[in-house]
Amino acid sequence: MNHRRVLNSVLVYSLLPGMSLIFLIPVWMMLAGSFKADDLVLQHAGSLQGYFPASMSMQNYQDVFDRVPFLRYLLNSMLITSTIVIAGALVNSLAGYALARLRWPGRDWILLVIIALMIIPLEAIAVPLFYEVTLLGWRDTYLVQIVPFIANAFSIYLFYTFFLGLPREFEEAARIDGAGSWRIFFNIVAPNAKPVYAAVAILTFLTQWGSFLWPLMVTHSEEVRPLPLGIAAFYTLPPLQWGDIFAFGVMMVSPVLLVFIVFQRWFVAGVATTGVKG
Amino acid sequence: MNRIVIMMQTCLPRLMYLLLVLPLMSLLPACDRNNDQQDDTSKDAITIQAWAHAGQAAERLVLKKQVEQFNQQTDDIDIELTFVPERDYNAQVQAAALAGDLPDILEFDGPYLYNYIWQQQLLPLETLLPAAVIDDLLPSIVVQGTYGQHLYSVGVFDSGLGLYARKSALSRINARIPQSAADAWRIAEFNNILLKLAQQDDDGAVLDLKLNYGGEWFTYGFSPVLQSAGADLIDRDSYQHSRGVLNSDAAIAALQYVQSWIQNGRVDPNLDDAAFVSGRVALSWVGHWEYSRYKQAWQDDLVILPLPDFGEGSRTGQGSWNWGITTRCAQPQAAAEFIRFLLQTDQVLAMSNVNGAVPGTRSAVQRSASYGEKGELHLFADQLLQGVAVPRPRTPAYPIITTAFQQAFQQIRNGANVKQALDKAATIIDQDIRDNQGYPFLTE
Repeated sequence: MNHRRVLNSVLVYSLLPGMSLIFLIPVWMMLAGSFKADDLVLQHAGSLQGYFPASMSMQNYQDVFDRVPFLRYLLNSMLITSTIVIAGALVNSLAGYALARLRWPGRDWILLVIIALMIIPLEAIAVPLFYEVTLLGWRDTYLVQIVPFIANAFSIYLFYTFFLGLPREFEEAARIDGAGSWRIFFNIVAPNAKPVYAAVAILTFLTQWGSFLWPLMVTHSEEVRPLPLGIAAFYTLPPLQWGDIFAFGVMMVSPVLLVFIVFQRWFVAGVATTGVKG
Repeated sequence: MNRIVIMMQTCLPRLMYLLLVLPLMSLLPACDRNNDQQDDTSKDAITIQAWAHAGQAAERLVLKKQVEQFNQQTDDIDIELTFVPERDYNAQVQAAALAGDLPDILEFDGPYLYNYIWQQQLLPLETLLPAAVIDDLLPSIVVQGTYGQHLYSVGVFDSGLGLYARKSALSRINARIPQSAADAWRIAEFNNILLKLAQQDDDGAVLDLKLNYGGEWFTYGFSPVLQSAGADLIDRDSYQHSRGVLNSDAAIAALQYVQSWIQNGRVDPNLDDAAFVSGRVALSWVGHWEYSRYKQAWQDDLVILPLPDFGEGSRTGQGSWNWGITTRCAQPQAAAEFIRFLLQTDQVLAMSNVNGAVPGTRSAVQRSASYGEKGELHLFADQLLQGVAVPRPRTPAYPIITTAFQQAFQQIRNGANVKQALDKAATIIDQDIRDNQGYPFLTE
């Protein structure tokens, strides 16, 4: 039995580095390309040279700042994404708690609707949503990029399933001590739900950080545009400046990696407890 | 009661903060704009909003400077310029049109021009621009901008398409060097040149067709093949059908030549976009935008030639970004002033010098060192002046025409049956025209 387990471990651990390379190589190639002259990026792409920076020139990074207001885009992305993540965590956890723990008329129907909403992609509702925000006069603002994405059916469902599994004893003890639903939620339930908050925060962050279609439809000013629209400015008539695109990509991906590294522990715990799969 | 008080104390401040912060954030850009407008109002100036594509960095810089210069020169008009990324530019224009939020002046790429006109988003320009300004435009730009008897768009620059070659490689096989489009290699001569070049080449791949580009390039770069063979993308008399034109015998034969070059290994896949500059190929089928890179690589050995003649004379592509005034514009005369400024010879040359495109006016072409009579790129200007260049089909159906042709070309380059691929494209185009009741012309 032990022999078989060792063999399995050897097999798994010999496969894992190879698998991880498949995902790491494109990121590494982007990093290496960001330090190369534009014409060398594609020339080296098909060979081993593609994976090593020809020089450590920062010219491409300089070009990015020269060509687009990168810092403005970065700040916009951070503001939009962090607001959605924070407000979404509050709103969706409250909704999940209400569905999991409170008794109120129509609860089961609302839950059904929320589950049904999970399968409707943004693309399907983009046009009516566009008309709605146009009528509200929200086009080309931060508001239009934030409000429609605070409430999220998938996040509500994650919180709902997590809260269902939380022992009721804590809440009952708090209720006996005279705490109301709000206090129970903020003082008892929320502190015990850190893993699911982390999982929802990361998933929301990843989705919103790379959001392209909606901002494309509803914004046109550089003042409010996020990073993914910034990189679109580099797709011009050929020849494309691939070094600049890679440099932009590196700077766009770095915050995502940073957030993931910081929250990794809670994210893994959240995935384990909620059953989220990537 | 206590519970309510505690709840108010703990939760409400957070919620209130959220409710306050969100609307305030939305006001940030609006505040900026209001401040701008206040500044403008103090000058009693008309504010004209303009959208332009965020092209190459140098292009942006020149346009920014032109706007600054215009705003300084004119006391009563202020241009507010917004750069919109080139990728998905049309999607943003369509979104703004849906929301009734188009700017006063709009720059747009050739493929969408007729669709915008058909959607009644553009104003005719002939009454807004002086006749002298229109007369000075390259004929290709006038033809491109005209739809239903009206001129709706003007371009500061146009494009050029041809064959770049290394003189030394051609002289080794004793190939003649055509001097003009009228003198272009006939298709049999071109095939022979490819064969001779291939015989002297290591891998036999001697031609770059920029197969690494994709998208609109396929239509821009290879519809001249059809036109040179006497075929086209659509019947230009009625603009009602492609069947019998796009899938005609002439079109099939012409694209079979292109397919044979690829299948016989004459074409470099050019994945690194360096086939010509690295010397792997002797010929490159591409537009004006590659000139500076190619010139840097080959200096005096570089020569620019017309595309081969497939039977009805050499043809080439044309068209680029255009300026138009939208129907939303309340002050079209003021908007036209800015367009007129952009079409001044110095301004046209300033833009052409940085983006390398063909200057959009006759006077600028004459003064251009590159495109003038003795310029190395004169062939491109000559093709536009002499009617060798064929405009994109002037129909709102163009977006579907180009998409269908691109798909057909992709299939053909990958070895599909040429007739079947073109039949399918013609069917898609004709279906779209029927679905839109033939795209009837605007009522006057």
